[in-house]
Amino acid sequence: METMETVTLTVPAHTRYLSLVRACAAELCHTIESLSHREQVIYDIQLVVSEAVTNAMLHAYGSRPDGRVQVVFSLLPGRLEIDVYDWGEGFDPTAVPEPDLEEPGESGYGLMIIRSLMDEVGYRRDPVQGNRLHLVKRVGGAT
Amino acid sequence: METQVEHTERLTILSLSGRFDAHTAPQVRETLLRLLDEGHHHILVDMARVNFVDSTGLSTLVGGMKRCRQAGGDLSLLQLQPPVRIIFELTRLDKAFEIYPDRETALASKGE
Repeated sequence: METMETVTLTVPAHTRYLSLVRACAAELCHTIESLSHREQVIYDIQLVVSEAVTNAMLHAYGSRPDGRVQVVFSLLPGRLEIDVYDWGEGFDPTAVPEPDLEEPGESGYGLMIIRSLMDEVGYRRDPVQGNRLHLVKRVGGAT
Repeated sequence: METQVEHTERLTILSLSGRFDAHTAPQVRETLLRLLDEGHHHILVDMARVNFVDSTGLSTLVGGMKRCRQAGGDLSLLQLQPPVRIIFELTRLDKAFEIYPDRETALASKGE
């Protein structure tokens, strides 16, 4: 049976908490002993989590001040899973078109970054249990 | 995020310091729009002390670059830190911007 350790962080849906979420992601990644290309992977994970939480804060809740975003980090042998929950309108980043790279625009890079840096990306809309963006990163050997 | 503005004979240098994310991007956007309103369309953004850029930061810079070019100028970048540069490469924005390794090279290229 696989061992799994989880860390859950819940923050108000305000962008001032983004640095706290990134710091948590970075510290958690530092506990993964077998991480190869350690500094780059940690930076990538921070970036992806920041993108996902930003989407939830700005798009799922809009200007609502009472929203909350929950991030669940699950460490499994050889993989890090990150689930980002919101209880707002939901925002499915997997449905957003890729930006036109030949004509740089002012939006759409967040999803591209998430897709590029993670091994699996999925979305489930569920206003009761929370809309969930599911991200998986393979992290080499056992955790 | 700290911002600092300097003017040379023909250029405006905007130095940023800190994290460039959805929380700090509005401040940078506001500064860029103010510079454009004041008629400064040739802008160098010094990123030497920026240790994190997300998609909101990228979008803010693209918006600034487009407005500068529409006004006949340009917005170029200086001294991208390695992890930040990778994000520009990932989104291919390293092809859209003029990016200089240091201030001397940029100023020489711009004829200063």
